[in-house]
Amino acid sequence: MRRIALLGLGLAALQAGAADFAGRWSGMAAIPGRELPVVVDLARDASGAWAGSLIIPGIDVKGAALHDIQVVGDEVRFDAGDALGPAPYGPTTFAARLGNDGRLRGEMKQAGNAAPLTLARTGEAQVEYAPKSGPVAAATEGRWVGEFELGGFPRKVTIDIANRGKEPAQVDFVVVGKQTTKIPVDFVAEEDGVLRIASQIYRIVFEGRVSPGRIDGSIDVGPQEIPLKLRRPEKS
Amino acid sequence: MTKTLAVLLLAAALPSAAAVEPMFRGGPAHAGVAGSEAPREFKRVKWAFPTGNRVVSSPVMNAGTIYFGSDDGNVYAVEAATGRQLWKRATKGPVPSTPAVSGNRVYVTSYDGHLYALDAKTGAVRWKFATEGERHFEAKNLHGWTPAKQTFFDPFDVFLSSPVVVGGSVFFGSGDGNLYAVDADGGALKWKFATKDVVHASPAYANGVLYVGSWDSYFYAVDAATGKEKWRFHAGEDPVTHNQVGFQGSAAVVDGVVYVGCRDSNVYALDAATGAEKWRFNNAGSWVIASPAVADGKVIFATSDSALFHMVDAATGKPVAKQQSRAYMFGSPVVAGRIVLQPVLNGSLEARDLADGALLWEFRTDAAKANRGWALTSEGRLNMPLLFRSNSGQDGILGLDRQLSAGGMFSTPLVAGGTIYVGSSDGNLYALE
Repeated sequence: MRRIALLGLGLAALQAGAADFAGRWSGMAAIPGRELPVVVDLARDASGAWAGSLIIPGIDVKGAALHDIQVVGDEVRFDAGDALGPAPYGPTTFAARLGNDGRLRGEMKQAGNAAPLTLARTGEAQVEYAPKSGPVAAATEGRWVGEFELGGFPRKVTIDIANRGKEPAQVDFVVVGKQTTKIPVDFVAEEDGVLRIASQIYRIVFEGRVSPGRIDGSIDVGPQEIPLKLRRPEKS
Repeated sequence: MTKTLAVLLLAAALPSAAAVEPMFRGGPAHAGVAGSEAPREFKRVKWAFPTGNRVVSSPVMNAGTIYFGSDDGNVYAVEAATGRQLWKRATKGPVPSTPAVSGNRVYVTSYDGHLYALDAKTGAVRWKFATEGERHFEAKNLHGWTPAKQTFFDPFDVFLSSPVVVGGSVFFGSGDGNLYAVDADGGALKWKFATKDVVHASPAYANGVLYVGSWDSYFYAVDAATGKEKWRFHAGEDPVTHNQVGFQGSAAVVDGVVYVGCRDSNVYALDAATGAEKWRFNNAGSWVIASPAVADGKVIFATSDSALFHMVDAATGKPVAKQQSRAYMFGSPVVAGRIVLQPVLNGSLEARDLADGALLWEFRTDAAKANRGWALTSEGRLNMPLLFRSNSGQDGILGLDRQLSAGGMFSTPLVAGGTIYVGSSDGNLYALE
């Protein structure tokens, strides 16, 4: 009876703890006509939550953050967000089960296609954590204006930045050319006096060095890198 | 009597298919109208003729023989009924141009920089004419690729100029920037007309005038007898990334109007006599590489980036119908009876209704079905994140190669005797019925 109770306790513990997926997992996704190498790093952070990143050599995916990591029993599922393209191509998803031989076998899906996935643990996890948005220096808050030229047409830029405590700063980024475009900002950070504001979906990045009353930098619009100097607006 | 009446009525309903000639777009005016009705339902692949590389060239037919080029460097003659090879003739470069057949000669251009005149029966070289040398369109910062100071050739410049034969002269353009007139009999130069960049469009001919665009952003009307310029039309320019500039596709000339698409994303209707703009149809940044077809009072064209199949009123340019396709279209539409055939770069050939462009059927190559390297999404669209992975010029060039693994069709279909002949970048010439 005692033995049965111990066995029961052990089973419950195994179910509660699930399999250990921490580590670097390397292998292949067998897409038609090509074995696609895949490297997945999975680790628990200090709070016990799972974190991970993805490498796909040869197709410019290095350290892409994994999202929605779910571990249930011997199964793990996660997605790699826009690493292989935003919707309708993404998110790229992975689902795999840990076998008795220690390998993960499952499926990788991208753009509606699905391929068998096989991964083996090859070492300790080397998760790459994506840079996080944050507040900016107090002196950087407020309104900035500037101009740049694209395709022969002038564009006016207005950027309003406001801190929200420890949360990422609020940024309103408006470009006025032939039409007025409000750029959806998904990243803002200031480090060592360099301000970086990005919009992944618009493929727009502004990066500049902050000094009193000015920010000297450039704006990337798709493949174009164009100088952009921001200044404080003149008082009316 | 009833049958005769039905035949007469059907004939009256068909767009003019008279005088289809064995050259690019069915004749010197490049109207893009076939001499035969395409099947309304796809039944089968009658035969597939494999070559050693992609078939960008469009097939033409004369006396039961199909002639076309391949990027494997050969010109082929194939029996239309069986797909049996009759002869092949090697050149020293890819042949992404469409032959023109006149008399017992086959005229075709090659990336080796020559215009060839071949014997139609045997493939023997009767003469060849050397241009100043072929090249692709090229530029620094092309398409915004990095490194910006590097000059890249444009891998999307896939076609060579297809020759047109009229009145004893062979007319064609070249990567050396010239439009040439060469004696059809002996290959002697009659004249050449210089533009300032690559001419890979095929000149259209009507009423003694040649119409052709250059990558220098101008469209030209040139006297076919003398080589003198009659007028020129200036389209858009793009001095920064050179993406939105240049005439890559060929014009159609119908009823005194020139219709032509441009990389500046417009389709233009120009007065053939003066070059005056009658209307333009803007495609919001999408290239128009495919040559328009003109039939039934409509101009039919397809776009690249936006993958749209358009029908507009020939007189006004106002939209008549628009259909969403699934991938870039560089191949040109052909009107075959009440059906329009449209090649697509996802490895498919679409058959659409001439009335409204609705999709009737679709042929997909085996390469498209295999979807190697996931070049396509599960819905048959180009899987852009896996094709073009970075902004480097090298990747842009390799990306097109990855894209073409799905058997993309650049070739303009030929319809004869109810059979469709079309080339694919999977290396095959297909006969479909």
